Amino acid sequence: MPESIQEDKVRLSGRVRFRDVAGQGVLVHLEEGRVLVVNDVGLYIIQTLGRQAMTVSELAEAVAQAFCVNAARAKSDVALFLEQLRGEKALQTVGRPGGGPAGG
Amino acid sequence: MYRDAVMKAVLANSLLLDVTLELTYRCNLNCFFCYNDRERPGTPLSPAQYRVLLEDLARMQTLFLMLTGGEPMVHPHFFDIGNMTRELGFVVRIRTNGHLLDPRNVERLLREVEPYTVEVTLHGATAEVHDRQTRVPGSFDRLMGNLRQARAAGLRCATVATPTAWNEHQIETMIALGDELGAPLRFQGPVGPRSNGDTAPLSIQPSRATWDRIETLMAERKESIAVGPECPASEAAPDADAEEMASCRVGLAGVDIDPFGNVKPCMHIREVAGNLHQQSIAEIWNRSPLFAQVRQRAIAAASRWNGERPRQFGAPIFCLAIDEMCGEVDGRRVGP
Repeated sequence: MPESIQEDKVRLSGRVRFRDVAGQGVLVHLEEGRVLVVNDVGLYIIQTLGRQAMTVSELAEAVAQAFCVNAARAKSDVALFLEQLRGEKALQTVGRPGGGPAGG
Repeated sequence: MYRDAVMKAVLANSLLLDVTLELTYRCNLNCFFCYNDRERPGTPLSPAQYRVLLEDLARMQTLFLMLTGGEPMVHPHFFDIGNMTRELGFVVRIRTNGHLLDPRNVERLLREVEPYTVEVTLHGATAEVHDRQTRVPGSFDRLMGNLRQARAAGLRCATVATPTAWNEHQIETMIALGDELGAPLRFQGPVGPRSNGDTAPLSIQPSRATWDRIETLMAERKESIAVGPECPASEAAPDADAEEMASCRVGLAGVDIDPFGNVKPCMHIREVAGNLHQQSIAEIWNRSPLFAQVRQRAIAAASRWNGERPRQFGAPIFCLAIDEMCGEVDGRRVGP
């Protein structure tokens, strides 16, 4: 997984809208015009990143606790999911925990 | 994926996925075939009531909103309401005649509302035809100027046309114009009676051959032909396909809310499920029997077609409201 995704704090792009539709997350990207459907774990991540910026590690810890899963597995899955979201232009980088430069 | 996974869940859980807000019946144009009865009386919803409504809808996980009218941008609190929709995370479409899309309003739309798209009504490919339908001289030239600068400013725009006897000779040039403007054209229809029962607009229905030509042209473009008189449940989902759009989906997962707070299964159905001056949207959606009743009427009416594709006034659709108001399908009077 790319190092930048691990270190950066990311949050949901302001150009993304989403709702909890019976436990599934439905996302619409206002510029891309695409609809994404994610499961309950994906929805939890999206809801979390809609409220606050987090690193992969922070997010993975939250997911591991919320869904009672192995921390290492959670980190791997979260990193993969964030890569997918980034590919959909659904994330924005807001800065690094140590105060490093923010990127797009 | 969307239809399979999400729509099943929406229907199984009776979720209210999309809502049309008719903000006002006022308009700055005077279109000959407009279905709105501008004289309809009522107490408009206040900005505070819109706030309560939108917060309720966000809690109910409603995703899609359409702001329409009349002309929604003449509503005195249009931007206040639009700002609320952005804050509360809706996917918003705005249906406008484009007359007020000047640079300042475009900038405000982009900053304060962030709509998914702005759908602008196109009545013809020339000023002569467009202005004949709007009955406002200069409306075509103004629209062209507004659309060009709106696109240049980065506003996602589309154009929507209702085929009529006055513009049917310009179907191809209207499509080309939409492309040139960067605002792809889709068609809706057929022309329906006014909500007060006035059937004068029906006098400018286009020919059935025009609808056939439109279908062919849109199929060639591999784009959906969004016919039907503004059925929000079918239109709002960005990946809904043409076949779904050709079906009346009234009563399933969408409602229309008029300027006076009346909640209806669709904007063309006259019966009211409840009023927001007296009840919350959740109470109305969850308790009114009207939505299921209207759905059953639509299913019963559609069963008359024995699986064949219905047409109303030549258009390849089945709209329950038009069926019940006119009793006309496929050139035959079949209703009341």
